[in-house]
Amino acid sequence: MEELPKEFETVVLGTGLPESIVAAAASRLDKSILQLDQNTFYGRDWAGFRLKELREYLSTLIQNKFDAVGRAVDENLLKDGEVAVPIRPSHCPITNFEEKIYVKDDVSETDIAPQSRQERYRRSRHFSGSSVASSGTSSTQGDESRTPTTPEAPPVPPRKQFSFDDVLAESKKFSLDLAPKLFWSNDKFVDLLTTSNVSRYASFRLVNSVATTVEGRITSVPFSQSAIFQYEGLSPSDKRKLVKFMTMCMDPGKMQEQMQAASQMKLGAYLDKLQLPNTLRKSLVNAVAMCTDQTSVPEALKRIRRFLQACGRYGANTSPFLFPVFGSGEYPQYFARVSAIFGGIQCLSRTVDHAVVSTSSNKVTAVISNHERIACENLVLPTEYVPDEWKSSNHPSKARILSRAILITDHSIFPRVKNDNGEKQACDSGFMRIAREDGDELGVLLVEASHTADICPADYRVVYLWMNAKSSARADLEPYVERLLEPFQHDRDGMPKVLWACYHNYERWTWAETTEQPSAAGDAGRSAAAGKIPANVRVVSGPSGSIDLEDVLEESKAVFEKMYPGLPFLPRIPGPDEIVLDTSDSPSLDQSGNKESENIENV
Amino acid sequence: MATAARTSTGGGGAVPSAGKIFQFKLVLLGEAAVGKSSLVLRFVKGHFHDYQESTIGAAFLTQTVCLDETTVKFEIWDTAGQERYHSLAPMYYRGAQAAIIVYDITNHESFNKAKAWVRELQRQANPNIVISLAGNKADLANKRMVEYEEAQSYAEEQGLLFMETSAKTAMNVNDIFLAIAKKLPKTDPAGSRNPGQTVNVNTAAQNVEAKSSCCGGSTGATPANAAPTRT
Repeated sequence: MEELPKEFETVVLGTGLPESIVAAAASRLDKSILQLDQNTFYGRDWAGFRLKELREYLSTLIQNKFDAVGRAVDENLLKDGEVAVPIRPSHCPITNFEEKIYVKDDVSETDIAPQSRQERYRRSRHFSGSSVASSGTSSTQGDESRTPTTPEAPPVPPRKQFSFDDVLAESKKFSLDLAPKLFWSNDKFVDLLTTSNVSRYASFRLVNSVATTVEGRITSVPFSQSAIFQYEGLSPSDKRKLVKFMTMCMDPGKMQEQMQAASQMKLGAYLDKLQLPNTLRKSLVNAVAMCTDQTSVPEALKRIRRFLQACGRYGANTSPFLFPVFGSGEYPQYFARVSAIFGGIQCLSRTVDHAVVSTSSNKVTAVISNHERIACENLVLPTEYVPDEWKSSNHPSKARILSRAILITDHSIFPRVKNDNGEKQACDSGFMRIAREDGDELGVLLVEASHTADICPADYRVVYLWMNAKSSARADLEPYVERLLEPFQHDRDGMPKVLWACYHNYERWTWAETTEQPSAAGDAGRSAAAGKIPANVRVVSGPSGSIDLEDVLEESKAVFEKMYPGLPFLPRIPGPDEIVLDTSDSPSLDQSGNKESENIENV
Repeated sequence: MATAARTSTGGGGAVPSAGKIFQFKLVLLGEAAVGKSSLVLRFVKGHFHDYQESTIGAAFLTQTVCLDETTVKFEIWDTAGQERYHSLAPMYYRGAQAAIIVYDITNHESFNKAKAWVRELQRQANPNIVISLAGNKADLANKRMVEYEEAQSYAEEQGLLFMETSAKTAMNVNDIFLAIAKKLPKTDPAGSRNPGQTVNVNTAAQNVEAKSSCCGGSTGATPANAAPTRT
């Protein structure tokens, strides 16, 4: 391997999403960037894995990684007035990993010893009719609801039998994310992907079902205003009330009086007045506004507006969400690639062992990595790498713990959806939000996707669930898993089955930047400020529980702007045609927006 | 922005469409300085530079090859130098239908590296990927360190397409891409996926921009050396 250069403008520790975005943005402006990661893979806590790799990572992570003792300081690499501060993760953010295999390792044994395992996947089950409509989960939307015996249901071949070995044999086809995310069709992150041309790597699947649960039943949520009005059981007076309500959502300026009156109200109380049918009301609160009855009316209206504005962007009545093909774990890699394209250097399996801090300026002047001194002007690192001596009471880092589950299932839990031709088909990716009884704002979020997003083989689905933790991930989420998927003690037809589940908690620390920003002059004169983070160190967080990536974008942008104030953040990347080295016969740099070279278009 | 953007991109492979245009993602692999970018620039632009800097700024290029009844559009990705520190992101070869692994015939170590890349692809990439091996810098035959026969028998063993190429003289450059185009399966994968639901947000933006800039800067760029059109 080539030796690393000895000097960079910015050293970025970690290849998680915010680190990679910052690296890309800085490289884009020709800043020299070194991005290191102690892992052998890109993405840190945002990574995507194949099935085998995920199991291996999660099961070895917890015991191995965090008892490593730091390297001894290479004193000869330090100059006068410098100290070396060890940089290593203080804790492992992933805890409570538990795995549950619901299929027998070897199917043929099932018949021989049927009692040996409680959570066995039942074999002789035949699946008839639609994949989701069954006693427990049928959709409530009129003709959407079917029973498995619906006459027109085509004969369905016997349910495919799985053994866990079958699943493992296809390990390579899985792309399982530690931090699954969706994109709003019109969100700022998608805008960034487009304007920075990162989107040329990315493609998306439209999420074609949005749902919630109402009294334990999975209920499709209408995407558009018109679909909401077509809701069954709406009386003319309901509709009038809804019109008002929707106008308030979409155009609050028009309805100032009403807004005034409602501004102090909670959404629940407000909806009580409207007296909408219960299912519609629950759909609005749980899945459209993604809030609770306790949310204030103005906030709820903002959220509903956001949802509705994101609908229909890719065709009539399309949902507001996009699911990333190959999963969210690709995104750190996309941005790292942008960094590389503009000269950034990525180096995996390598970390920063020490930060070299000048005691007079309290700035990091270099890092020591693998006994090499690498000078830098900025250091970016994830929260858990911040050494204790840089933490102070002024920097109250806050932890929020998420419970996460990753499941492999055999059928969609979502109601069947109509395709462009009006035919019913299995949902290929779906989003569901389930309200929590304790009124937690986040609720329980569920994202399901299929092979159409290239995240699993054709016979499977991947389901992600997450929520703010109350206790261990399994204790928190298993009840939901058992409610939505086949309870293995029973043998009901038509219910999707869970084949494999894994649970873990994720502890997310955010670094609260102090408000006291030392002035430039004060900065220079400042003596070694114990308990202060060096002025040129920037801290980034791990993935939050939010459904989208807008918070990451905000954080990355803020970090970038602190390092490079006034400089443009990820401006459009020119197409290769615009930067070809030979100027004699190639077009000059064209700002008008051609994207890539297309040499022959006409066939 | 209301333009509905519906294309089948990503790992899906061929795009069934009226003119039978098939689009494939092709990645280049190989040790630094074996001439990966030079090969692509020669193929796509007809250029060659003796002192091509290491790749900066070129995310990918596209080039189209016409076969008998079909048109194959290659989306050609370059490593962006990530191979230097063994940190090539897997997204690079994710979904790739074809790969050209390049070595330098004057550097035996680069041939060993090429073999390592073959193993890596066989382990990690799409199982149907068409892999070809290019012994580049064939114009420097007097400094040859890798015998043609050695590489050829290795390629046969592994089922790879093999050619010695020269980005400098253009020898076999078009030919290797053409051979790949012929070998790529032109099947319609639509059965496995509903193309109507795959969204390329970039295309949406391009469609909008295309109104003002038409076909872009390479209008009329049908370089003399461009895609070989043969029967």
